[in-house]
Amino acid sequence: MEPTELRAQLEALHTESFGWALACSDPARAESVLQQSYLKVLDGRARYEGRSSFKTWFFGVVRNTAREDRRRALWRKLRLVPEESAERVARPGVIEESLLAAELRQAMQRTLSLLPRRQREVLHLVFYQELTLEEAAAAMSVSVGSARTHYDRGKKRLRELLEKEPVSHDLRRAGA
Amino acid sequence: MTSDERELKSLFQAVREADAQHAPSFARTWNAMPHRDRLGYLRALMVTAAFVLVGILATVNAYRRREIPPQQLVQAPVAPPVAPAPVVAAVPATAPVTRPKAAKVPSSISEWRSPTASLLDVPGDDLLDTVPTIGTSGSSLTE
Repeated sequence: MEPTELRAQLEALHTESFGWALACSDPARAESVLQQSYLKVLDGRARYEGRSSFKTWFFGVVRNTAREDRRRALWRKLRLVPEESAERVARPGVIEESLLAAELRQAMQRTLSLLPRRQREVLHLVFYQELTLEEAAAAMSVSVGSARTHYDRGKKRLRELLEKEPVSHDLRRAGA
Repeated sequence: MTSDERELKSLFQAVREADAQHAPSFARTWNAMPHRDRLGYLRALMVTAAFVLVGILATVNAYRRREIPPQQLVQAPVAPPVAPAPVVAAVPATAPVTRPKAAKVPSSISEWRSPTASLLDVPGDDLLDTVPTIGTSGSSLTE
């Protein structure tokens, strides 16, 4: 794929990719993870071979990059791993958002953080990114059966947690 | 899709819209692509080099210690000069003072005799010194 074509594809996916990076990694590291994923695609460390849709493939790249980023967290604390200069350049700015939207994001982040990682990821891919279970399984590098199990368990657990969440009524109103 | 799933989906979509407001622009993310911090690599390299150096020094030291003979490593303590025994006043002056006899030093090794060699002497030693022949009586051996 040509670099210009790659860039166009990545740009079209950017907002969704950022949402996926938020789900895969520490929200403070999401943009850095996304930048590292772009870099992997650009310098050929991640190569699209057309075995799945571009979106599914790129989400797999972001997921792997987020995992590597988590592994480096300890080394980063010890300052033994170089920091990316982009972190200093592209710190997300403060954006005004409504109180309800802020509360909704925080409540959902809090609730989802209580789920196991695989359950959280499959729910995000299906409900947030609107992928099918097969596509979600491909992005997560697991079998469809495994993805289905995580999906069912995650859905049930999330339902229970939302019942206990004090802002669940607001969440439902916002979601309705 | 069940009603439960529809409700969850609508919740996630609301979060998605909120996230979209926070998402940085593609141009900003793209233009601020990470560049590796050279100082960070240098620091990691220096720490690794320090560990390697310590390892080499420890290995060399261990080899050197193994090559030195043990008697040089463990110095035998020098015995202090023995002070003369104090004279005991309780010993009567008339008591005979016996001194251990100095061992007789043989002039050559062929003359040397073990101090316990006499214990091996038995009365019939002379019988064993001679070889009996057929036809001689036992009484003639003693003569």
